[in-house]
Amino acid sequence: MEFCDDCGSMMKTEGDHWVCGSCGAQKGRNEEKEQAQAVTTQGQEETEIVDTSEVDAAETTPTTSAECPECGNDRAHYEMKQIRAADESETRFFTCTECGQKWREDDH
Amino acid sequence: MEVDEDVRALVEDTTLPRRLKEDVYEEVAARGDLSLEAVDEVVQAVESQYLDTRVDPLDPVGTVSAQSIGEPGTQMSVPAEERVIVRRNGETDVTEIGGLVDGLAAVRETRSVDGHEVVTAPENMEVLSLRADERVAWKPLDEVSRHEAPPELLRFELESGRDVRATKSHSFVTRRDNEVVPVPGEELTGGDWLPVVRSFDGNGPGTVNLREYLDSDDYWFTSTLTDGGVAADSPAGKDQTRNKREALAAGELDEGAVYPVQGTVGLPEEFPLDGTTGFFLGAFLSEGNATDDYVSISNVDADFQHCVRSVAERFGLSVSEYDNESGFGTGHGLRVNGTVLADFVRTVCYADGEKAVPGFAFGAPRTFVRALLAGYFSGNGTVADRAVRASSTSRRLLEGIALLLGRFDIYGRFGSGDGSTTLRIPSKYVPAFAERIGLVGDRGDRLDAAASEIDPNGPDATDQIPNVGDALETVAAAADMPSRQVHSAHERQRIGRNRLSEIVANTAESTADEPAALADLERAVESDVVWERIESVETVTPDHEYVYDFSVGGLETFTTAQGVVTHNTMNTFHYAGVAEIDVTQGLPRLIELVDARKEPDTPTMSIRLDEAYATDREKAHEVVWQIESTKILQLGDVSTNVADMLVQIDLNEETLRERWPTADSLDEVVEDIATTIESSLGVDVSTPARTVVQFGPEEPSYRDLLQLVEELRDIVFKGIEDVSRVVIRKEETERGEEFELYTEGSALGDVLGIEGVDASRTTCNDIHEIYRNLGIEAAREAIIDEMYLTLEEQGLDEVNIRHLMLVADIMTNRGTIQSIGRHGISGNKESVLARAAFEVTVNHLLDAAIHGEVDDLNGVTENVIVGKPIKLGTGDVNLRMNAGGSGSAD
Repeated sequence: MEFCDDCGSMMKTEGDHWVCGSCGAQKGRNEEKEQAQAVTTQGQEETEIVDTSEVDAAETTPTTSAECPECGNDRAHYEMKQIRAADESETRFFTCTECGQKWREDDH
Repeated sequence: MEVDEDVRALVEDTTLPRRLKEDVYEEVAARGDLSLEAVDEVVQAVESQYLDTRVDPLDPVGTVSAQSIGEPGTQMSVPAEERVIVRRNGETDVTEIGGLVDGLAAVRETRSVDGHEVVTAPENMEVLSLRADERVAWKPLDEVSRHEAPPELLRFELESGRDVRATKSHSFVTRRDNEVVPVPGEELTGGDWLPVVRSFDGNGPGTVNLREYLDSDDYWFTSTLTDGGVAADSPAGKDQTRNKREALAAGELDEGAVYPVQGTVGLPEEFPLDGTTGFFLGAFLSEGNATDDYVSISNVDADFQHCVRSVAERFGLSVSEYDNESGFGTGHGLRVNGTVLADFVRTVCYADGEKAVPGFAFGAPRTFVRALLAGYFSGNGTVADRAVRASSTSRRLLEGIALLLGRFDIYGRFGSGDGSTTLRIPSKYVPAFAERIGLVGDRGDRLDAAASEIDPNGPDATDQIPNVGDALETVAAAADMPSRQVHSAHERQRIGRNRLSEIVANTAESTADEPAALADLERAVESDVVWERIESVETVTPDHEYVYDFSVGGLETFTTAQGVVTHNTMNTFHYAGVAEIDVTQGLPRLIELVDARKEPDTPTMSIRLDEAYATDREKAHEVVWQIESTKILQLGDVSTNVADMLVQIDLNEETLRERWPTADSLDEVVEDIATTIESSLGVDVSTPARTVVQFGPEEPSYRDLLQLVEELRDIVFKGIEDVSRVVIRKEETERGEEFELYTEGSALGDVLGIEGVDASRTTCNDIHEIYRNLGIEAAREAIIDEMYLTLEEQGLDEVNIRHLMLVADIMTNRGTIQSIGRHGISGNKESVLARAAFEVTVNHLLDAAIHGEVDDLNGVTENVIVGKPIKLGTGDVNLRMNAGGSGSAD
């Protein structure tokens, strides 16, 4: 972006020099300066297909120590979602690592 | 840096940072004679590497972030006393993994990752590792780790008698579909295959330094005299040191030797590992005995004795010989006198009280190893039944010998009984044994005789290659071999190595172009491992507090002392948290349904695919691209040039090819994109380069330009506009395991028509969309399903479906979906009082009054309001009284 030296208004390009819109003054162009200054590039977003067919949920879901009501095992996968009212905290959903039993827990 | 102008222009043109550009100039200047094309290639390669490794802000980086998203499989290790083979600075050793890692953890910096203590391994430490191409090689050890042992471990016993113990999630490698793949230990059962090393190299040093093995209190080294060491090194004091220096100068003592205190008979400090010493150690391991002063080996064979004597001669040691009468007949014993030798032998040839192969032997030069094996088997081996056997009470010794045989590509198996173990070299390997190692004396003759009778290319039950997948059939077909020849092998999914080798050779000869499967089979034949079946798997309790692991590059495998190859970790990318599609649940969702809201909060579709598409990943991906909306930023870089008032889009060729797999040519796709932009933005679009699209506003105005850029970002080039994200999951259905697509965003009408989509099993959660596309009855069913699903998710799945059916029926009774509230059913009631009692009371009453409406008092609410019995039950009937007339009821 160039501004006219005489009148200070914004200049436009015409061919290979700048021309001021209001007073007609002209100025040469500087390729390098323009490349650096006038061109903004937004890079390509890397997206790929989210393919979770190979991912085993049993490996990726986090676990914690929680006692299973079925088999008594001490570890369970957990997930948390805020299901109840907005002023309540999240409900904890547990899945036992041994027997697969699911149960949930809320803050009373 | 002075470089050519052209080179400078080339490099300056790239996006590399200054530092890298300067590095390139340095390299080019240093090499001097690079052509411009070569420089161009180099620069391109450097740039692409640089761009690949650049990380954008907010990107997860490395394994740490993967672990913080989700938890990786925990506890994958081997117990402390499992012995593994390692190499440090070229010298091999077999050591307990526990001791090794504990030692490292004590002195080096540890960091804690997820309950594991991880230590970077010292440099120059290597382990024997199985590569993906089934060759065994020494690979650098990256890290070691340990963590608390779980309550149970698994112990695998293989058909060769070898065993290995590990945690349940510790992974091993096995062979599936003609490839080596990792598999967690707990998934392995009897009959599965594990690899055992049968061939490896060692390039260890040709000598071993006795200083490492001898106690410096009892011995002194001439090198300490001459290397300017302090007199305190000599355990005998200053005077002695001076005496010895004189003796050294006078030639009475040897340079570079070891002497015992008070003794004059010594050994070279750098003990050579060659044919003579190898035989000696092997002989000792087989039937030798050592005391403080001498090493005694007894054997009746003359050749054997000769070899032992030659060691004594070599080092100037004296030998005493004697005959001894024992229960087995006359034996002849040789005693080699020398404290140094005796002590050395006693130190290296024993471990934990039993005989064992010295650690450095595994990597020692071939002549040494050959001689050691020859010595051992000449003393202890028996040749019988077309096999070579050796027994010992020391299992560890035999394990070491078996591993040493791997240096010569010979494989052995174990058997046990009566408190001793037997190592057996199966007949297939006997000729190789005879040729490469050979025995001395009578045994040698018998060995040669046996070897000549055996055909090394005969059928081998012990060396099978499992799980070759379809490769056998493919190759047989390509070579025009009758399929019955490979049929049974294909059915059993295993084939003997010799047989496979024959087939591969025949195929290579007969066909001109080799099928890819042939290369895989060749690799299987050439592999450095023997695949063994698991005999049994049992759970055992660990003896030590910790379990340990090695982290090696590449396929991440390392080898135990018994030659079993085990795997380190399973490196999976953790999608947890990334691939979740959030759907409204619970009460808010029920409210959405009952209110028949036009746009649900989280519209989503569940798409099932047709036959061919449901199992083929590539085809599934094709469907994904057709559905997921593709915007401009996913296709290339967008540059705004305010000077020239232009917007330029540099499309990425690879991305275009990926997302338009069925397009005939790239130009077609680019033109398509250009046309789309033209029609939606209303500007003229030009194509200055093959993958560059350019346009600008009509009048040179900043405002228009920037507005165009904004609008450009929203244009959808491929896929359906409303569908923002598609996730592929594998689901278990009646047809088996197939791919299913879940979307964020719903456009049922458009999706049903896409090729590959199975319209009969695809649905969405927007009931209005279902109504529009599939009709009112389908909408009714969808309402019931969605409500039931919502309740089920909350654990309330015992609600009788009739209640939901009632609600759905009422909502859809009129042929359109009506909500329950005042805009739908409740607001359409005829009765004024009922409507007024529900919501907005005054409006209804006012309108009714203005229009003079009449309320027939038919429903429940209005009758309750006026106080009459309702028209159900008792009120269902009106009583009539007959005027006049009497009569009793009869």
